[in-house]
Amino acid sequence: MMELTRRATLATSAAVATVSIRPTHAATGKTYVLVHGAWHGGWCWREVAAKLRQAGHAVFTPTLAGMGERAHLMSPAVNLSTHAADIVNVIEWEELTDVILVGHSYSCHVISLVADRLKPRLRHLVFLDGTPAREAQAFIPAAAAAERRKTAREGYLLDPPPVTNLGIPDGHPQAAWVKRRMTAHTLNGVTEIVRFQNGGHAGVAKTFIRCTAGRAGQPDPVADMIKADPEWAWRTIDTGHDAMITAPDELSAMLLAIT
Amino acid sequence: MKRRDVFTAAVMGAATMAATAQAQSNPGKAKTYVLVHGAWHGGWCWRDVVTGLRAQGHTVFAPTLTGLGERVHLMSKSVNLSTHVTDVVNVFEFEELSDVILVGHSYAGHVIPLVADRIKARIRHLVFLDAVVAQDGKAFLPPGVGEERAKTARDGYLQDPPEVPWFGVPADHPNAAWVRRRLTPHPLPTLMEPVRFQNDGHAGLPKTYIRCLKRREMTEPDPMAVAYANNPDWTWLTLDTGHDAMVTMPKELTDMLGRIG
Repeated sequence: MMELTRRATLATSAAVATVSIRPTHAATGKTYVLVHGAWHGGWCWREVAAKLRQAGHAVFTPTLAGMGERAHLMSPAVNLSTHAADIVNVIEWEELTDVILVGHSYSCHVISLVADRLKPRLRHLVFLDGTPAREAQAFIPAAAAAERRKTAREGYLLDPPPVTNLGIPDGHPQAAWVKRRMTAHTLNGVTEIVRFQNGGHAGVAKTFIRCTAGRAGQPDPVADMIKADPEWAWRTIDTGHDAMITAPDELSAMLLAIT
Repeated sequence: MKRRDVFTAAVMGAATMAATAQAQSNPGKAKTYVLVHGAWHGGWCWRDVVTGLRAQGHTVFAPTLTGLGERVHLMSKSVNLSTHVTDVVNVFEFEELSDVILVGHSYAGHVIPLVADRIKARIRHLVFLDAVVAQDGKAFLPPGVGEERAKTARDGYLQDPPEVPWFGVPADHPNAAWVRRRLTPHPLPTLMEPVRFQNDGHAGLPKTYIRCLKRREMTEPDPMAVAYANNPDWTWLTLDTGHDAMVTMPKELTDMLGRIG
């Protein structure tokens, strides 16, 4: 993995250069790329992917490097740029255009960077219960990062939290599934400072979906920002953070409604 | 002419199938497929086959092996055959798949028997698509060949892709440009690592060999036919196309895979 950073750079710059595109997978449908959040993998989209495919759409659920079925590729070299390249390269190698790109939680940062790199290939961005990336900031503040590094396994691995922290009640029928599939997340994904080269997600149609269960009465500065910005549509689902697990029907319907 | 017809038919077929996906979907007969690409390729190469199988109502995964296709940014000298086996085993683990029809093309004929060796109980059928079938104790390349190739390989371990006719895709085929722009270098260590079975490899599993008849080396008799055509453990099928059948004959390949198991 020593060459990872250099190769990521090469792959990303190569991706931007390609313009020649062939017909997409589902000639009749839309194209969705669903990007999981921290500790998760492509596996978490199982039900949503099945529903979208059943409706005739092409769906990709890539797993970010070092997580889920890619856990054997974890190393300290894996960072936010790696994860952005993971998704940029899916769009590039599958030759996708007109993509509805969905990011959950941490991956709201990932898709912001993908938008920065491949804006013309995207039709709509969906931020599912996560904070959009901001220029020159990391996913977590520097002080919090320093604190977490002290206790991180091998100095960089964050073990999965209890599923209740993700809005999945302990007695939920899917709780055991999520518990046995979660893998460690890399601190280097959430501490890397975001550097946009093309205005980030600006100029792309965007929807924010807030999972509202358990949030009543709490301040929501992201909501205030998004509701004030005409580039954004604001939606809510009355469920916990892992809406693809606890509310796959509602979430799928919401994603299908995006044109 | 003929090639164009095949291509058009495949595209039209895929579109029609996608449109009627729900009508054709039959949960009682829905199967799970994992398709593993060969050297220089990625999950991308299965595009039309994935679309076709899903339109028939099946669950399909087409993972890309580490360092190839959209995983090119993860390439390093440490990527070997064991990495690629883990790539596929982990898809089974994390997607919690069982009763799988596992398909390997070309080089992946080395990957899928090792996957079978590790998680045999989860596999329903193995399909070798114009593949080199792994033999215990042997690497993909004969001894010394990998070392020789490494001398001229990029960065000492990366083999650049050959021209598309080498894969049985004619240079003027409608899909030739697609394949050409998506192929990525292949790491030599994957071809030099000897196969070590711990549980008799693919023994005991139902197996199909699909031979692509437009062979690069028209040696007679075909060594694969000698080994597998009249072998009671194997079903022998053929496609009248080149090595990259998923590119040049996706509709026929889809139908063939759909009938397995």
